[in-house]
Amino acid sequence: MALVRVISSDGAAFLVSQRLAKRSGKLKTEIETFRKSSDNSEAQPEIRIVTIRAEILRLVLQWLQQHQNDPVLPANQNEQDGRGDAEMGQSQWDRDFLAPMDLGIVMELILAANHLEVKGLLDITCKLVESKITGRTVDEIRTAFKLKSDFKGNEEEQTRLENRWCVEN
Amino acid sequence: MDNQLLNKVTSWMPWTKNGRRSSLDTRLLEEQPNLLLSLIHPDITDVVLNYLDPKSLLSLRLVCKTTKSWVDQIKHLSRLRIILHTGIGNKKMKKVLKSKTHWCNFTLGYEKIPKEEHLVEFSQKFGNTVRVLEVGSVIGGHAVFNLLGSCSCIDSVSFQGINFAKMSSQSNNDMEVFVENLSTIKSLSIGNILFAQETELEHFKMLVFKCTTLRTLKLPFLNFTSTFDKDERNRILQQHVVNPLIDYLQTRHGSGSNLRYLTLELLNPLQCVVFIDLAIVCYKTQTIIHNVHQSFIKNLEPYQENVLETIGTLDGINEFVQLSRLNKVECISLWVSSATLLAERNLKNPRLPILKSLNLYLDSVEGDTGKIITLLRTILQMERPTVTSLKISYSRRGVGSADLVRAVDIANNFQYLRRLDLYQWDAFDDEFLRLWNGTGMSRIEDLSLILCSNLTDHGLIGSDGAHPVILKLCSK
Repeated sequence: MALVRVISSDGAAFLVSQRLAKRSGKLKTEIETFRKSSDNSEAQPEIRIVTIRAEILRLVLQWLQQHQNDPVLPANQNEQDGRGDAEMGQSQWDRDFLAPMDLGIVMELILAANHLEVKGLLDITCKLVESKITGRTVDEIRTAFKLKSDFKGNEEEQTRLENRWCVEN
Repeated sequence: MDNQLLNKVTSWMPWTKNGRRSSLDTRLLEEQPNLLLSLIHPDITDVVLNYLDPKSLLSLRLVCKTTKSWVDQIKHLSRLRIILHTGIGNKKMKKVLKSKTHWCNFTLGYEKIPKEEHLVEFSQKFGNTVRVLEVGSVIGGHAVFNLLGSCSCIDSVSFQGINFAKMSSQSNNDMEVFVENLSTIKSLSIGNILFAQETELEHFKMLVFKCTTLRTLKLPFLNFTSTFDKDERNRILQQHVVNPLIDYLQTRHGSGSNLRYLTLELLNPLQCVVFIDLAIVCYKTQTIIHNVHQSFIKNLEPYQENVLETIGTLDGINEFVQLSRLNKVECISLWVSSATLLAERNLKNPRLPILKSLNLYLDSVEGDTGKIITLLRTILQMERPTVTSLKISYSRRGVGSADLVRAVDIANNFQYLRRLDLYQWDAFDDEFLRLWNGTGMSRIEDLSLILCSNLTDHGLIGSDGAHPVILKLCSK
């Protein structure tokens, strides 16, 4: 089995099969670039991901491992709606996978999925953040994300008035 | 995202460098709750905001200054539409004109467009920011052309109608500025076209050929006066709409940039031969055609069957349609009475791999229902994980048996439904209870049950009043 070494920003190395790594668009490109530039067809590619720390990279690889036999999700064809196909790809395993994560980790995972071009993972993580916003009141969103209002004077009221323009007709 | 940018991102998140988040990092986040937001790179917020509906975007504008600033960018504001018309019109217009936000998605007028003086001010204020503009009245006058002429960054334009007779009387300069700004739009929709002389329809060709970057185009309804008989209408439609469109598609194809979606106007039905000519070109240019009526697809020769692979929305089915070839169909409406026309080859391999919306009409049928059952089984007894909207309508004068559609098929095979619409389905409570217990029902966001006369409270609640079965739909 052909392998590839993927190294995180803090130096941790992960040895994974190239077949698995190629589920990431970014790693696939890196492996193919390595192959083209390498004289030795047996050489093992080494890819350094300088922006993703080990804890996050491990989570990405864990997700890829679980989904290695999934069909590749089609690109979203609806141009009016940038939303992905998270519902289609989300399984109970995904829900259990995301459940213990705090928001900071989820955000880092979104960044990693975006960088490594792992569409399915990007979809489910964004969907998780979306689920903490959609259908909630402003106060509920503040609570969910531990945020405080920092509007001054009548800024909030002015914004509320502007929002009304978008819903009335 | 390039590496330089990523390095910048991670420099904002100190714990990403040393691989662990320290207690200090965590305490910092707890003490300054909004800090995390400032650590999030715009690329991430953009991705997340793309998942949100407009209502949620509006809520985010009210959370704090940072989340408001995320939303108040052109790419997200372009999904927040402001409607300005005469009813509540001018007061609202004045307020909007004073806003400091760069609003960029507007619908102007339904009966009358706002006063000309306001349109001039509107052009000055929002001309450089408007990305999406819907003009909800028939245009042709000087003021609207001036407005469109000032919208230099517009992406999407939708007209309720264009009066070509009036356009002919515009000064050349107005017209030139107007069409010049159309040269970079991505979406053009024209509701209907008013014209007095056939020659005025040349404007349609001119308009479309100016739009060299279009990705979606909705064809207009040609408002024929009663002086045109059916043959004349067909000739004019072909000569002034379809033929120029074919030329346009081929020209774009030659330049390497294709129109991706074409929506037909069902009120101007195309003759089969005309539709097939158009669809053959669409197949070559990989353009998906929406609003295709089954009556357009007749006498299809085997070498022309590729055209089935261009259809995005199909209204009805006939003996020339093969489900196996409908691999681009996102929305299909089927009347079960048409089952009598169908043979085995029509229903073979009915994958419909990207189908999102399915409408089944159980209309009037006489005689044997065997073929209807075959059609329904073909459609319903196969896993349809891509379908998010299902509508089933029984006709009172049509087939009467509720058994034709089985709850177990919907519950088991449509696992990702978000919208379910059942009209005059005469199933009894037990069937409904089977439905609510389906694996995919927890994703339902929009449920419509109309005139389901055998449904009682029991079919919604079940046997345990303390735990109504219907509430499973809210458990996600």
